[in-house]
Amino acid sequence: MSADEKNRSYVTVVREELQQYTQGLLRENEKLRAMTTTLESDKRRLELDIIEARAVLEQKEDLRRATESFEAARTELLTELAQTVQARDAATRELDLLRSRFVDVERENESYAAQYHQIESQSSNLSNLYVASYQLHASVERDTVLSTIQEIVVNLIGSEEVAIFEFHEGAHEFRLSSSFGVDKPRLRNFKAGSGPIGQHLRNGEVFVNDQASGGEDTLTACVPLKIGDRITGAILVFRLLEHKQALQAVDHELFELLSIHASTALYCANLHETSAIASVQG
Amino acid sequence: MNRKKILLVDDSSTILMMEKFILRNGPYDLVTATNGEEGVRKAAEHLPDLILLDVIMPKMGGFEACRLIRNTEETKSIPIIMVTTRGEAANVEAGWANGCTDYVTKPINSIELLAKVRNFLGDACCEVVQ
Repeated sequence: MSADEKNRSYVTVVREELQQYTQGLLRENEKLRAMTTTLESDKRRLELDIIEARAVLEQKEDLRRATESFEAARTELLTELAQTVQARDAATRELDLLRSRFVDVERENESYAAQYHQIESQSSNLSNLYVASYQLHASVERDTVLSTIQEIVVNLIGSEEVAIFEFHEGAHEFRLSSSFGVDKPRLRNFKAGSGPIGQHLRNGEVFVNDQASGGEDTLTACVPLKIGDRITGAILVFRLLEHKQALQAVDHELFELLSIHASTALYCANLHETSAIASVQG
Repeated sequence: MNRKKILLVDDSSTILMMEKFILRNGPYDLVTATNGEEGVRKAAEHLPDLILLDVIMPKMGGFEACRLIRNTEETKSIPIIMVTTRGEAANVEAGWANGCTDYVTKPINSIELLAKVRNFLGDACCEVVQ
């Protein structure tokens, strides 16, 4: 081979190698371009990720701040709740105290009301006794005294059936002086100590039938009229008024009062009548 | 104090005295009459705020007096409490029919009478502690 051919062959080789090298470079360039594209895409994606991450961080920061704020509010609310619970406990204690005081005051009030009622009742009883006593001694006229005794039995004791007997020494018997609401035939004169009434009068004590009730046809009371130990007469009380359910303590006291005061009033009236007759005759 | 006038009509001096006793501590001026006729006359003359009227009285009974008081222009609205020994329904009915406002039975229960009087006269100063 000539030098020229050798040169031509070398050039051809070099050209081919160069071509191959160039081809290689082009491929490498192509790869690099693809890589660059990928990297750019990755870069954009990463930038987006960064933006997203920043947003997340910001949200996280907001949440942290909100949590802190919520915690502060919760602490404040817990403090307030504790104070409210304390106030409620104090109010409950005060309410219990007030309830207890209220019960005490109510009990006291009931006690005062009962006392008031008792005093009113006592005052009423005293009024009855005073009025009866006053009325019995308001006159020395025999008829007035007899009608006053009847009035006391009717209006203060509550019976419209009453009879008044007086003892006549000479005949040694009790004779009817006055009656109201009782059939006369039922009221026969009687000897001292005889019959049921005579028996009641024998011991000089007031007889009261405590079982007697309103409307029942029975002897309710037998009241001896006494001057000292001497029995000068008797007041017989029969049927109680329909609405008078039972005798009260004040009725017993009225019977006792009548036993003494009605007898002295009648005694004075009789003396007055005797003296009036004597003065007329004299 | 605003005093009220009460007319007490009863032929029984015992009852009149008893009623005066019961009402003596209240703010009341008391006027009395001893029969229905006098009661009607005094009602027109004094124009009381309340009348306590007995049923059985001489000259004129309580029912007739009640009717006359109701038929008189000046006295027709005065409350009348009948005071009766008869608590039976028929007797009470007769009282209502003749224009009474309320009734109490004898023997008079002072607490009941005071309560009724206060009920009509609105005596707040004497109210019972309940």
